[in-house]
This record gives sequence, structure tokens and C-alpha cells, in this order.
Amino acid sequence: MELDSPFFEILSVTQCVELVDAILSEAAPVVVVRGEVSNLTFSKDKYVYFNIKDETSTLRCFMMMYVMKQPLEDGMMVEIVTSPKLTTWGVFSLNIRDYRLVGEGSLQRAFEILRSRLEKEGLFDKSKKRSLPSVPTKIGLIASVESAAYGDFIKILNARWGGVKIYHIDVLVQGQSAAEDIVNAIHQMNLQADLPEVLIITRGGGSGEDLATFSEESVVRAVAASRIPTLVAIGHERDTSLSELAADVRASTPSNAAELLVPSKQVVIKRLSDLRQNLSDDIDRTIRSKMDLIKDLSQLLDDRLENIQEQCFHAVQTSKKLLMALDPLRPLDKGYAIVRSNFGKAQITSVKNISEADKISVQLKDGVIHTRVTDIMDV
Amino acid sequence: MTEARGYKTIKDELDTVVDKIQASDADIDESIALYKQAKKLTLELEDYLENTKNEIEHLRKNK
Repeated sequence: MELDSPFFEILSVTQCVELVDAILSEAAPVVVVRGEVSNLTFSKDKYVYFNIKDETSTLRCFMMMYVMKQPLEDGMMVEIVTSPKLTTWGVFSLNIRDYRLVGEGSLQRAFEILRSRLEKEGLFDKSKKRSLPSVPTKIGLIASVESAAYGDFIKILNARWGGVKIYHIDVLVQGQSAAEDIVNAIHQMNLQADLPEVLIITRGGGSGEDLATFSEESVVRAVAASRIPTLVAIGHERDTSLSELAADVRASTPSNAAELLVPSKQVVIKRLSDLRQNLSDDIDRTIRSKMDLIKDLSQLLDDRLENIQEQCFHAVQTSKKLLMALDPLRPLDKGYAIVRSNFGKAQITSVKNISEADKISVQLKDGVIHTRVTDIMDV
Repeated sequence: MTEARGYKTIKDELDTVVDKIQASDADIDESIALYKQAKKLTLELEDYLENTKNEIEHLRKNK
């Protein structure tokens, strides 16, 4: 009987599990497995369990929540980096160290799930968007120095304006460590003593998987949290990453980012020239208009003065005519006389105020007669 | 130094004097005195208006 064979060592259950684990870790310390996610569950917000399967086989998987960089859902295709392990309770499980989504469908679905979640959190709120300075003097640029995106951006920026101080951090824009690289670069930019006025994050076109880094949650959150206003341009016009949605301003391409960032110097010079001409024309028009107004007012004033003067002359003439009529000596012209006692002292208007032999004067229109009263008669 | 009197002041004074002349209680001597005062005021007014006219002409010429 084989149990009696000296070639077999009798193991405890634990020793057996440890033996199998040792063989596994020796034979396949790390493997990458591709399959479809099913029966996905979460526990205590710390652990993630699911199965990975193909047409004929199914394996159980375990992962810590912090490893989960992209949303997972049943039906998604994934490639997992794992260490196979036999648990002490006899279950064969794949302990996931890292994973990536495979296929446009899975990527798109993960994109939509994360987008919906972050949208609910308000990361894409239009009301939170800040405007960019019209012509920044210093900017932060996060891009791969070897990329065409970097070259295009710098070329267009210098062609349009020039003289902008650029703080550049070279980063990986795809691959496993790209997200961490970009997040660190964003933090580094935000810690600068001389803070850039705008932070540009850009890369050129690529496949959905190439651009997926810019839709990873850590990158999107870093963009949204940046205290420097952000301008993000990822891929082509048709591509939209979640980082772009979280950015203050989105550009369709790296070149477009440079166009949005600074105006064309030639266009500005032309616009200033036009403005100067318009201003000059406006000033001329205003001066002409004011001069016409002053001329009209002056004429109005002249007319008014003339009118007042005529009224005054007329009033004086009227007073003169009235005065002529009121001349107290005028009746003398008609033969009346003024009689005064004592040769011109008090005026005598009644015979009762005079006696015979009194000295009197009689004023006529052209002279005065001095005489004495010889006879008084009542009439 | 006495301040130059304006048209309105002189004209008001003239009107007052004319009103007094027209009042029936004035005797001949008082009326004559008022009449002379009125004539003087009339001349003063005419001088004033003549000066004003010259000033306006001068201003127009120097515009």
C-alpha cells in the first residue's frame, strides 16, 4: 500500500497548503491572466472579490481596494497581474497586484462609470471653472518632452506670442506609472514658490488605451484640485478625457492649447492699430460735435443778449415817454403859471393864502416875474 | 469805493421815483425835484445800456 511507502511523507493540512503555495510561488510567482470579470463584490470598502473567466474556466480573484485605479464591472475584459495562492481554507485565489482594462468596450464603460461618479461629486461643475489670464507671462507645462504634442505646443506658443516663461515637467503619458508621474507633476507645479499662472497638461493622439491615463481617477482629481488654473488638451478633437472635463479650460489639441493660451501678436498689433484709428476718429468726431454745439450756444447767447438789451432799451424809452407826460413844468407851455410868495419861497395855490401888497413871483414857461399883489378877488 | 450799480437797481429806482411823481399828493417843488431825479436816472440807464452794447460788440469781435 502506498501509505506504507517510505517515499511519502505524511503532511499536516497546513503543511500541504504551504507546500502547494511554495510550489506555486516557485513555478509562477507572478502571472498575467486575461479574462472577463464576473460576480464582482466589495467588502467593508477595503476588499474586492470577483471571478475571472473564459469559455471553459473560472478563477477566484482578490484585490485590496486601493489597487483599484479604474472602475470594474461584471462583463469587463481585464488583464490582471497576480500571484496565484492557495488559501489556508483551501481555496485557490489570484491575489491581484495590478490590472488594466482590455478592449474599447471595457475602457468606455469604466470611463462612463467614473464620469458619472465624479460628475455627482461636482468635479466637472461649470460654475467652478476659472478663466485663464489673457496673456500669461509664466506657465507650467506637463508633457512628455519627446512627444509631438510638446513640440507643437512650444512651436505655436512662440510663433503666436513668445517670451512666455515655461516651467516644464517631463512625464510619462502612458503606461503603468504614467498616472502617478502626472499626479506628482501637478502637485510639484502647485508647490512652486513662483506659481505659474496657468498649468497646461497635454499629450497627442493615441488609442483609447493610450489616452486612458488621463481618465484615471487620481489624475482627474489632481487636475480638479489644482490651485493653478488648468488647460488640458489630450489627443485629438474627437477624444475627451475626464481630465479635460475637470480642467478649467479644454483645448482640442496641443496646438489649440497654445492658441487658447496666447493671442497672435500680429492680430493684437492689427487690433491695436484699428483701435487707435477708431479712437482718433472718435475724438475728432467728438471735438467737431462739441465745437458745433459751442457755436450754436454762442449764437443763442448772442441772440438772447440782443433780445435782453432791446427789452431794456424799450423799457427805458417807455419810462422816458411816461416821464415826459409827467413833467410838472409842462403845463407852463400852455400858459399856466406857478405863483410863489415872497419872490419864490412857498407855492401859492389859493387866494386865501395871500394878502394885498405881498411880494410874489410868477413863473412862466420862459421866465419869472417878481411883483406885488394889488387886488384879490374870489372866483 | 462804491460798487457800480446794475441795470435792475437803477431801473427799480426810476420806477419808484415815477410812481412818486404820479402820486397826487406831491406838490410842485417836490414833483420838480422828483422829475429831475427821474431824468438823471434815465440818463444813467441810457449810459449803462450804451456801455453794455459796446461791451457785447467788443466780445463778438474778439470771439
